Amino acid sequence: MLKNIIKKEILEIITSPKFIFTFLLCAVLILLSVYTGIVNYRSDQAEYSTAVALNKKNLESQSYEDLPRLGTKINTPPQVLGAISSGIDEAVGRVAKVNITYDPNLVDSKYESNPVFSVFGALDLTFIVKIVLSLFAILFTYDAIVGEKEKGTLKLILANMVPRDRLILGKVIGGYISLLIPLIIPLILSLLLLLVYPNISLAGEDWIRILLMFLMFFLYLSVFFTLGLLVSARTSKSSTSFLVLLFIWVIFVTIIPKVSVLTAAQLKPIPSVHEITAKKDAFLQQIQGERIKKTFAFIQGNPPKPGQSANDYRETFRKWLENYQQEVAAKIDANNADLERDYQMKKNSQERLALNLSRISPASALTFSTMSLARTGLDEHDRFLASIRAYKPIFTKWANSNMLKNLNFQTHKTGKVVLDDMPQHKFEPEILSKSLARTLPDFGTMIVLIIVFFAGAYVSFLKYDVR
Amino acid sequence: MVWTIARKEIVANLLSYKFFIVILLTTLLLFTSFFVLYKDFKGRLADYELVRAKPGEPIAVLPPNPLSIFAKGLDEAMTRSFEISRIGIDVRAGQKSGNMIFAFFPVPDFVYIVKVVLSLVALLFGFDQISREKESGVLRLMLSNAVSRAKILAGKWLGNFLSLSVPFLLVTLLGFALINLDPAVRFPAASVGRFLILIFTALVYIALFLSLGILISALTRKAASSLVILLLIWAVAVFVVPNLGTLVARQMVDVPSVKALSEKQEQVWTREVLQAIIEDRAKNGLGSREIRRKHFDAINNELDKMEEDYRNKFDRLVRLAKNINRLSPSASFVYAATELAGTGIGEESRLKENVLRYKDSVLSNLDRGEKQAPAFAYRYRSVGQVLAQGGVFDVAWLVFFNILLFALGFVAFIRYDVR
Repeated sequence: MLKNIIKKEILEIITSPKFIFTFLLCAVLILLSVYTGIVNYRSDQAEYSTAVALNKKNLESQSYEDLPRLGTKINTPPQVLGAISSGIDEAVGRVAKVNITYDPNLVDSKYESNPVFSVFGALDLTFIVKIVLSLFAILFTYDAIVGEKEKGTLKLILANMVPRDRLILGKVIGGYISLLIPLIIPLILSLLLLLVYPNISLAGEDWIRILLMFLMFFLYLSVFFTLGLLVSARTSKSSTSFLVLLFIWVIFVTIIPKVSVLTAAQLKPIPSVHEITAKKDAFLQQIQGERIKKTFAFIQGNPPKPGQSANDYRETFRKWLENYQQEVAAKIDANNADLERDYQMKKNSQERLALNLSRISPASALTFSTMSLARTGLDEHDRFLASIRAYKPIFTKWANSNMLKNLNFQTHKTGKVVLDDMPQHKFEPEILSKSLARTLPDFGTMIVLIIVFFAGAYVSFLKYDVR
Repeated sequence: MVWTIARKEIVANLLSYKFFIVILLTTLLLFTSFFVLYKDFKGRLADYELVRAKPGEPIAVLPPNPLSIFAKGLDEAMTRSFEISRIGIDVRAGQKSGNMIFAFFPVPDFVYIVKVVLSLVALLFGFDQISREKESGVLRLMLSNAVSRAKILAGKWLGNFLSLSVPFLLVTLLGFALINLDPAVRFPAASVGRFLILIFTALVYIALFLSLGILISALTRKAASSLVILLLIWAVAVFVVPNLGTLVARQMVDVPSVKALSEKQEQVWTREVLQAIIEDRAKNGLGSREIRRKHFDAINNELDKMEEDYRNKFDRLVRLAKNINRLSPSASFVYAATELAGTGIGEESRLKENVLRYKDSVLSNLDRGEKQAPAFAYRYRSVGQVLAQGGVFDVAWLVFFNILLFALGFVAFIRYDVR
């Protein structure tokens, strides 16, 4: 009995025009987005190697004495899996300067240099799944039960010896299989595209990440599938069911992600960059005032001793001043570092709160989990920045020691830079288990939603009025 | 007759729960968006007070645009501070760019809500106009009287459009008036005119989707199938096509990346500086100021040339992308709305040009030896200029779409089988 119901569902959906429409559109959109993702990755890769080569040439054309000050540049390598989920790649900086003066920061993002890019959004596979394919899932199921009731065939089926739970189970399985077909075929084709395209190298771990991302896509679409069934089993007119589903879709996909960011901003406000600068300036003023006072106090409290020459007195004063200035510099640095650390902590906690609040919506859960798996998310960016900051002391030590080694005290010149012994910046991309651990709550959200919606649909159908 | 049918449609709508749910949701969304963006504007205004140029400083910074509460567009990029110095322009962004998540989830402004939600609502009002009445048998009852099909269609369109637009207008105007009460956000008189044109464009956009809904409704036999088709069209038109243009354009126009450009600029800078130092040493420190000036000028000239070349190529890319995107009425609407509000792509590029001209004047001031830098003044384009530089095209395109879809719907309804 179950098999018959499943067969009937599948046949009914496959022979409907909406299936063919959906299949075509899915295939076109999926393949198009993966292809453009690959093309973008290739051009990013070419840019990256040019930047690295330019940097090397720049270094070699300098002399040792300029090296510590001008420093070197570290570029972010593009992620191959960004073809599927572009994440925050376009919004963040891609190059960091490493020298003795500044604290390294990743600057110069695509959006900053040309804000126009942010007007036209990104069209990657995650976007297609999140917006377009979820609508298709709703389309397939909004009239699963209500439509049959309106057509009058539901009461005909149930007038026979078909138990209700068998029927709903059959509908679920049949509908799900026919939803998967327009998805799996283009996805497999896109996997083939990734395999075959020249110069795209994917390691074993990358394949596992891709499969996990696809699994995430399926779970996401299943959430909307079971939601459609639930609403379909609770309404008596198909247009009502569709309306309700559309509203829930709008809320999940567009409203909740934005509202959670705003709520987090209200709950955990952070001071603006300008406020912090103002605070730093205020502290500086205060220290200057203190300095003048202390200098006067020193001169008053330590008058020149009888018999002490002017030079000696100047010496004592100078020594005291030097010590005091170092003390002052240390205080200023400590204050600035404190303010920065405090600001960073507040910013991080606001980001975490926004992330966690928005995860209620399966659309955000999908976005963040695929970003983590594709290594184009916030965490990877932070880790990369931290590795650059760890590299800075190694590099400056090498630069300074080489400068002193090669300094010719007669001519005050140093030789040209030789890069053979320069320490390289190393970055270990995050291992799979860590990424996975971070995406577990997202998997959990999806699975919980699927179970809740399916149970709701099941129970609702058992009490459904089929007349 | 048309007005009678329209009245009947309005009453039918008012008596249905679906209408109330929809209006409630839209009102909620609009008021939330107004409130959130109003707070955001106040925050950015406070930031601006901290950064604004004191007289004599070579800083170019714009205050946030009050109309950005309705059409955010590129306002955040336009209100960055540009500090001019011999080395170049130091661009400093506000607080928001420090927080990555804000870049990732843009705030839903009025334009976004109209683009996504109100188009959907208009579709929902139109999709079952004809097919539902046919299924319930009312349509043939109506047509068996001496009522022309044209009048029925016009009446339906008018009645539904009024049911949609009157609540929308009330909410929007109320929001505008409430925001205007705050003295810090006083809209200048010209802004009111712009805002009215913006609302007009939004109404044309909503009417477009209503006509589309009625058209598809007149082409199908069952309400369910028209819904499916409309949803697909909506998803593609609102989400996919506006992003597709950039992809296609990037394939067709070759623009050197920003990174390659800045690398080249750094090379020029390094080369000239080193040359200057060598020449300086050769002359044993004499005449160094002239040498430095010569090299700085050389740097400036070369960098300016590179920037101009890059900007020309980039402008071509943007124009091509925009034109491809315009296939979708959503993109046309966004362009028209943001340009009218003064936060569009055209305004941003005009600002950049002005900043570059300001840089030239600051540098020539420095050359003359003056201590104080001239102040930076920027005037937004007038409405006439906005319309002349593409605004009219976008609005006309929307109106044309409207007329086309209504005409097609008319033809489809004339041939509709009402039995």
